[in-house]
Amino acid sequence: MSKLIEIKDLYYIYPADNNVIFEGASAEFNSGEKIAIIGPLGSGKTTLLKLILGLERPTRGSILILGNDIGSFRRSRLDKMRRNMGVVFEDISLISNLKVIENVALPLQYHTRLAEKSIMERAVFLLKFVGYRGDIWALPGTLPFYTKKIVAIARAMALEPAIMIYDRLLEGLDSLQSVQVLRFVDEFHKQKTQRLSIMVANDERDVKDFAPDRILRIDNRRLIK
Amino acid sequence: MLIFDTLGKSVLSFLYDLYRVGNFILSSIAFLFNLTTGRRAVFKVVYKQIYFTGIEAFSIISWIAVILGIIIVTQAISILPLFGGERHIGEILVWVVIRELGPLFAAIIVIARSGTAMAAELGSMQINKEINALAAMGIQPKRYLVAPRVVGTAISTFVLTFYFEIITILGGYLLAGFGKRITFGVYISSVLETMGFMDIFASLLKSILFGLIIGAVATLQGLMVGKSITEIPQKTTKAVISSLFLVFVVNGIITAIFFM
Repeated sequence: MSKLIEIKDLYYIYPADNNVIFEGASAEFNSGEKIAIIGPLGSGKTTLLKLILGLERPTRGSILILGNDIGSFRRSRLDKMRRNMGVVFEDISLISNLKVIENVALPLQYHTRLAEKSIMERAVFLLKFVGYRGDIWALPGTLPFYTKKIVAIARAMALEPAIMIYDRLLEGLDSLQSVQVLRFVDEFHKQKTQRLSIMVANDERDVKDFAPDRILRIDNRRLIK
Repeated sequence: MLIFDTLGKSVLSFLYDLYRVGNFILSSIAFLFNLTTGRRAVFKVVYKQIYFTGIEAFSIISWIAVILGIIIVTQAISILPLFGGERHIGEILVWVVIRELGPLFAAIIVIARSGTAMAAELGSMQINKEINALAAMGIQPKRYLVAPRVVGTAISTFVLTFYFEIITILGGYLLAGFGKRITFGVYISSVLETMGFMDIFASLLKSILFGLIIGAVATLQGLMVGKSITEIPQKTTKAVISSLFLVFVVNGIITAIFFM
């Protein structure tokens, strides 16, 4: 197991209202692990994900990906790093003017030189993998919530990233849908022994079925085991 | 003092917006010449933009061009005998249509159809956090959303302008001039004799600059939408007003440089 992500003495003050979100938070995430991060609403879970992705910059402290401080990364290096991270945000955020298959194909079209036919085959494969049975040429706006969610998961898996991040993955899903989602999330995690999967949720019950190796709690602006 | 304060703030805000529009235009051109990643995905957006802004606008632009042509040719034929004859019709058409109204009308139609659509589309993408999702995938929104729209709009405006000018001149004669004192041969040779390289070049330059401005202003305003859905119509309106203003300013500057 190698250290994939290291959070060192992280401070983050939300610039809009000077609200302190993190104060000296530290943690390590290793390859092959399944990690759950829990914390109440507004505790900074999504902010932490944005910091890890380099979408927000720490006020102080550092976040290291494979030993490199992403605070020093230029934009092109950040983009390269993000290729290795698949993210499913809570609000799904499929690209509304792209069809279902185009959404899944987009990361492949943007980041690889694969032939269009291979990209489309891979996109169709991923949609089947997550159990999508609808029209692949439908626009996301016409889909029900669960279907949008599995399309977003397929899109996050497209580049076979080393790190998968799920933000409140099971929120809004019924128990049967949750079981289905966790089944292919787990299967995808096991496809690569080095893959790190991180799930963020509000409380422990939400991550129980994810069967994490470790649970970290955001408490008092720090990450606690 | 308050009036100077407000005026100063407005001027500064305008100059800052102008700087950002310029930045969007230059970075869009630079991105397309330096596509190390994302070439295929970006060019797909360029094609889509050309299809929407250019091809889908042919119908409406044809109607407006024909109507404008009828108006100009009717007026020209009715007043020319007072000023020395019909052979001057070419001068009127080149000066009015090629140099000025062609680029301006095409730009106004592009603003109304595509500028509003782009600003509203990017605004709603911002609200739905799609822009954030793109960034999280390592896809730069400026490279994937802005550059292809700006360049696609410029190409479309350029093509639409020349199409508009041809239809105005031909359609104007066929519907308003046909059967009147002036023959088609005299009409066309008068236009071609008057039209010089500078007329075509100025028209070409205007159309490309107008397209770049419209694309940049619309995408900029769209991306400036924050978290509230009510900002979408506000930014869309601002995109229209700012585009119109800049298009008219640039039109005046180019006309002054080339023809004064």
